[in-house]
Amino acid sequence: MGILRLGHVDVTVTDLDLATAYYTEVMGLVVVERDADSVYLKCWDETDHHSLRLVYAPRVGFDLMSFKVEREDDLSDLENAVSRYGFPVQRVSKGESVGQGESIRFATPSGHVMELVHDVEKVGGLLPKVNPAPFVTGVPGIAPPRMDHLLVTAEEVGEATTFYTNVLGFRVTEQLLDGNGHQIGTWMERSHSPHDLAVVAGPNGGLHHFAFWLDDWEAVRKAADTLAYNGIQIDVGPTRHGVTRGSTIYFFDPLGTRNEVFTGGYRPDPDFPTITWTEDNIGRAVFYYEGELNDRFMKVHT
Amino acid sequence: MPRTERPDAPAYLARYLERAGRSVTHEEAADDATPLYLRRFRERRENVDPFESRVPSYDGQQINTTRGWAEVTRTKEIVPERREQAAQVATDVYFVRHGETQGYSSESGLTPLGSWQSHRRGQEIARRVLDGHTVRIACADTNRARQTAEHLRRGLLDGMSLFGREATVGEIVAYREFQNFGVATPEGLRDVTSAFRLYAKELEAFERTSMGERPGWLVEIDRFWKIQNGGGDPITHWLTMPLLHFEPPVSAVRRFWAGLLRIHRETPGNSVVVTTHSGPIRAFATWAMGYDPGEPFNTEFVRVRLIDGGVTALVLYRNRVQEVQVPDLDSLPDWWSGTATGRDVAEEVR
Repeated sequence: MGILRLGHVDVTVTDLDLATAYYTEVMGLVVVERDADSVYLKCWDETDHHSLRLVYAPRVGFDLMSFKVEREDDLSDLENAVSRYGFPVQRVSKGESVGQGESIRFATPSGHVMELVHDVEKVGGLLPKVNPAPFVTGVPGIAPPRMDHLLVTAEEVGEATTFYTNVLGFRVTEQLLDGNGHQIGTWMERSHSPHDLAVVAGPNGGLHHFAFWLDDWEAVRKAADTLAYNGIQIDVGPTRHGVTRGSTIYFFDPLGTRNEVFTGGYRPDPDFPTITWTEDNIGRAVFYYEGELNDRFMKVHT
Repeated sequence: MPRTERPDAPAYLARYLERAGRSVTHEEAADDATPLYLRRFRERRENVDPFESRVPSYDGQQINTTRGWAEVTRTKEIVPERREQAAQVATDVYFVRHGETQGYSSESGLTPLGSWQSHRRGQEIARRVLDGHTVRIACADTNRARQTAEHLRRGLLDGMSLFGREATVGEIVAYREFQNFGVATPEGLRDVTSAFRLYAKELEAFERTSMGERPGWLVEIDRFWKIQNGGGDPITHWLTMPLLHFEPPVSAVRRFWAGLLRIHRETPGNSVVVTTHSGPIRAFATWAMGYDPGEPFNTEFVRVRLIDGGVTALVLYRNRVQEVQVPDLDSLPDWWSGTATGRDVAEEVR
């Protein structure tokens, strides 16, 4: 019922070769398919067609976020819900986007293009489905098993959160309140993880980062090794979040989109009571070890 | 220059371009690093005829449905032995477990997979047969063991013609020494399979007429088969639990030695394939290794090689080799005479 998980993130890049080189050699994703202006990539443990699309464009930015829904009927239900809320919904028919069937697209109050899709082509994962080994070998770079979440920016965090929760059924696991009690950050989930989608204060339509899942802290440490070895610019970390309790590194892909590797956290059920952070604790909330935010983290987004 | 500006192209870009520069056709795809599932997916997208696509070379890491089985049944000798070393081996015995069976509680023989396994095992043993050897085939007298021997013998002949080995393969002979462990029933000692019918009949009678206390043999065999029905491992039960009505594991080990030494006396220097049951095979391996190395898979074998003219032997199982002294059966303690029966202990000693 409803949204299942983050499906794929589509970002625009100005250099397809450089971006593909980074995401395959350093991040360890695999190229599933290419077409005229884009490259479709997935992580080794994902079975759907792709979880990251790199689209060529004259500027670096955020194209859309796509979430997978559990049943085909959810598409029409959510289409109705979004239309009734006052946002026009566009149907994308089968064959128009690579690797997936019919989907719906609409703009959200936070100014992002959001796509919902049920029918996604199954490519299969690197491990067999019969007696698989518990790990893979020979994947270069960091090799995260899957994409985990993304964080977008919005001018009205509260308004955006209302839409995502009341209309799309997201559940708020944590929120960050300013002195007036207004939300300046919310973390929302559908997949029983600390967050699938998060919104923080910033310009509408911005992408702060998208994140790959790693299995444990040891993998985060190895990821830091890989990043440093390849000369990737690290933004923050390795460190730990107060919000979501996850362990993390933030870094930039060669074109300036921020990535994250993330592990840990908790397993919230639908009745998980929202955790609240206050703005005076914002440093501890975001970076528990440092206790303060850096300027770049606050300002740079795509 | 700010840190984000690089004067040179990053190394990962060079690696990527170098890899991208090699255009991959389907002909080369088998040597490509692209994982198989992705190759297959792309071929489906491009409507490549599955008969046209390259068959990947077998990779145990990728196709691992039978990986565990393949690993423990991998060829044991890493270094091929020379003929003069082989000449020191007096007799070479393979205790092969029967193939996959229709059932353990009846004499219904092998499944098709079981006969295929046996055939494969025969082919594999053919590789180890040297020219001029004689291979004899013995079996326990149950349908599943005998059918295993028959299929194994065919596989052995096939394999020998394939590898061009000139050896003599004997007919199949059933040996009492290599039979499965027995159960003492009111109708005498039966092997555990044929005891099942009696057990089922008796138990049914007890349940139907509420005859009261069940006799001890019925309780023990009931436990044994209940473990089997519950998906457990009754052989472990037999190996580790004292059972008053089952043939003890040590007796099966002694029987095996008796049979082995008889074969050695009658036809020294031959290879002998004995198809039998997992219980006594495992008891034998446990005796030799000093710990329980685990249940043999279907058609997996424990190999015993008599060396030094039959004074010592090598027991090989699952990549482990253990040198053992060949026991002198006459000088072994006989627990069944004297005080072990519980009848002959004198009053004052009790």
